[in-house]
Amino acid sequence: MVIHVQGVSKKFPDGKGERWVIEDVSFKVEPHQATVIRGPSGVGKTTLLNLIAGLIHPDKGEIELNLKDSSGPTSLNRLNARELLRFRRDHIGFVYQFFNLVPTLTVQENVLLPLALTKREHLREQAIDRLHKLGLKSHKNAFPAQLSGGEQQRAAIARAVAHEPQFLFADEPTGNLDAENSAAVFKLLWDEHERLGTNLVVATHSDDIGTYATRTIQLT
Amino acid sequence: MKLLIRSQWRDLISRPLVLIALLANLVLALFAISVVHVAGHTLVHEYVEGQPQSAYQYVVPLTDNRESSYFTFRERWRAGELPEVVGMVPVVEGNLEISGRAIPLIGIDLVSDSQAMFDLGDAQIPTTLVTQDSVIAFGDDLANTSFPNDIKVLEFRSGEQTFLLADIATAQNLLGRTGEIDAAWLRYNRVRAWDWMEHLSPGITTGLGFSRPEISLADHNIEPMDVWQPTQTFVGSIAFNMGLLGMLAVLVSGFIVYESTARSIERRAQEFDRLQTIGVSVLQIRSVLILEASTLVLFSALVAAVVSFVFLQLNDLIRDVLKTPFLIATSKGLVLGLSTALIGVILAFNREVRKASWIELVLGVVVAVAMLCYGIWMTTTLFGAYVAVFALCVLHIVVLTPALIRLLDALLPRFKPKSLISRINVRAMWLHLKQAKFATIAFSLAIATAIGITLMVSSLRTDFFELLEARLPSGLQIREASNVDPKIIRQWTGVDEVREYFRGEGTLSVGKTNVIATSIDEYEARRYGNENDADRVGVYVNEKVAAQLRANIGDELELKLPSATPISLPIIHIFKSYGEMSRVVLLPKDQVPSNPLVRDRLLIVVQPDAIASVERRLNEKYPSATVLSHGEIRERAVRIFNRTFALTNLIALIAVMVAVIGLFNSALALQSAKNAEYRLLNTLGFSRFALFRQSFTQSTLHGGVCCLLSLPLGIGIAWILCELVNPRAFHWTISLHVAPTTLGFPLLLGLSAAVLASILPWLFLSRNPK
Repeated sequence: MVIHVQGVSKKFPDGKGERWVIEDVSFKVEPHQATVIRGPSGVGKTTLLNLIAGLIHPDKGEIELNLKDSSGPTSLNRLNARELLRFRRDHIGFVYQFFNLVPTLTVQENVLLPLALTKREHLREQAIDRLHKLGLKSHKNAFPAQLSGGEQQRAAIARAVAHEPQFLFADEPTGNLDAENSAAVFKLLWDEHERLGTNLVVATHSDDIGTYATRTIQLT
Repeated sequence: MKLLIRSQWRDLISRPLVLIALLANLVLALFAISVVHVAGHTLVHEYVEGQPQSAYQYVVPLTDNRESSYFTFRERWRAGELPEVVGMVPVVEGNLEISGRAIPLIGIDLVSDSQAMFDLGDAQIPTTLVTQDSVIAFGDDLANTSFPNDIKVLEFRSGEQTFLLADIATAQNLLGRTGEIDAAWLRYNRVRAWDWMEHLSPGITTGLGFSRPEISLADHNIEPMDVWQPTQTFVGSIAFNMGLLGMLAVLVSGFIVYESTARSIERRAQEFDRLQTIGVSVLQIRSVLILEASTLVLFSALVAAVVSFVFLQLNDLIRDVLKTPFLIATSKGLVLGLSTALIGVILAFNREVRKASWIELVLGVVVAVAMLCYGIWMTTTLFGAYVAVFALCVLHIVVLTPALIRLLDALLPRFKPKSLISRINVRAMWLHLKQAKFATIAFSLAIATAIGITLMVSSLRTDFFELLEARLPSGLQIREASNVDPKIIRQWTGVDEVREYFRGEGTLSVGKTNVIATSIDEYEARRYGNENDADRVGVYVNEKVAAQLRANIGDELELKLPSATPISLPIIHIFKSYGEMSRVVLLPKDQVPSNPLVRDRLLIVVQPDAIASVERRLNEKYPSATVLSHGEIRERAVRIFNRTFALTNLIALIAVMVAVIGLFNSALALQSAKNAEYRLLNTLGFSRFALFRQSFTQSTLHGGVCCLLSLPLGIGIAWILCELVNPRAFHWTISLHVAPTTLGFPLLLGLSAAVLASILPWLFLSRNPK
């Protein structure tokens, strides 16, 4: 088991009161699974993904991620802000629906940014190769605003996996794309998951990922 | 329409920070307009309108001082010559020695022009002045003066100017000039079309260099009163300078309104498109935006009126809420604010429709260069100097700023710092510069003005302090010194020398002048900065005299002293006299044939270690005299200097504040895009501190570029202030000193303000990103 979510609940301020967005969610993910979190809009898919990625803290429950070479699982609840930041930087790749790339860096620079942050410069050539294989060679010196939505998402995936993280999370990665591009993005996520052996968790309401998913978590 | 207004209102209050910043912006700009107007009006009122000559527009000096000459002149006028003149009074002027001081006395024949409306403050001149051989004493500092028994003071009236007013016969008696008349003051029958503008903007006629149409009469030299009486042009120039500085805040504010509206339109472009698809017209959308801007300006004007009223009350500039100048100032602020805001909104709405073509840009540059040439070389008016400043600003906006953006556009893709973080910072700064172009322009204009004013004031300070150092060497001064015997003081231990100064008023061809007579030796030459030519016999004149007479060293100066034959001597030195409103002539004492002057001052050259003991002895022996050390006088001068520029600095600071709020507003508007970027960077592993560092670095870079951008314009403005504005307004020449330390303060202020303006939105919004 690489991800263990145990009784997790999260609430957000809602007008004058508070609203529980997710309540008492528990599940486990085994190594190298491609997990899909499904559910209708507003059910808390993004919140759950943010919780697993350590971007927000749960109000109740515990989240543990198990790293490949560690002696035991890492409880995200017990990490302080600095440790959580480092954990996220080193072991997690994230793809959003929008705004995945730093607008002031070129496509190639965006892809190399995680390497600079994690000091994994030795992965530079692979990252650039991957970018080329994704059909973005001619766009490597372009800024994100000069790319189409599909190209931006491809570049985002290249950026998310550049430092070869053990976890790859994607939040509605195809929400802004047409069917053709959606299929291409899912395939790409799957290919990278297969090639690198990462643990892929995708929050989506699209059915296109169905063929790739090895595990589905339905939120209601 | 109602629903559109409701929607606009909700959008406005959904961004409280933007709303508050915009309101603060407008309030500050309108406050500056009100304060500047009332201060300018008060200044003109106190120095000019409180003078008896303010009712007259021309003066005719009578060279022989004979009453018969006046009556001959008057007869010619009554016979129909000079039909434009509707009234005249004969005048005699001179100084009376009162408590050791030379106090100017103006004698007017009050019955010869009964229709004259003397605006002398609280009340008209009482008729008893004609019958009782008495004087009215004007000036706050005369209230406690003890007058000799032969001078009956009918009443004291407060005011900035010190003088005595009497009927002409009384004045002739007191001055010992029975039967003499110095000049005739003429009242012109036409009200100038420009006079009403003076109410709208005090000092504007002086600034624009408007002069009444020349009238002439054979055998008589008719001079405009404001040339004859330099106080008028002096205070008019100050009021004009302040007025333009106040306008700067409104100009900067206009850019901010434009930027803010453009951002709002940009942000809501999709919404406006949708509205149009369901049938809302462009006119309706524009009307709602105009209504919003007008409401904001109206509300701001109300707040600004209250704030400026309190400020003016605290500074004793206005005592009555219903004073016309305050109402005019508030209305002026409102009209200017509304016009600026409406133009800003309309331009912002049309921004996407049309951009200036190359031809228009080139035309703009040509016009700006032509204006610059006109302001520098083709006119000598103060207005011309500001046309040059305006032209520099236009060049800054249409040439320098776009050129810098283009240069960065060309250079930045090639500039690749090794660190990707640095690349983000540099490019983000560049993006910010482009996106908030108008806020950047407004900010750089404000900082440039601050740089210009700081450089000018510091240059003037340097020159003024040098002058003080030379003019006030170690020593003591005794004022009201008529009863002090210099022979006694010369005997005292530690006293090297006692120098006597005689003062009075004389007349030059351009008008009245202050006259100082003393022994012009090596010591005096050194005081006036003429070490190399101390032996020649002649007169020293201040720069105002030289400029108005268009005289140079070596030219003969014709000077007339009361009851004395005219003196003609060569000008051997032109000296600086910063802060002096009047013309000043320094004469060698031995060249004054009789003594129409009052010995009102002694300068005691004392050995440095004896200053305290000599000062003590003087105070004991002459308690009625005022004894001041030169150190004290220097300190007073410095205090006055700082106070003089306090309002100037305040207005410049307001302009900077308006611009800073504008930057804050644009940074706030750009923050939503920034938040998404920061969320991504946070996901990638940037800590909150690292993000703060990013934002700080980008803000500092942006602020640095803004400051760099404002530097050439700032130095240009300083040059115009030193080389054109000061000589044209006050006849002072200032050497521009561009010291890095002087530049440091406004640059640091600008940089800090820019960083603060950009970092605050981050601090506000990063806590609760939406």
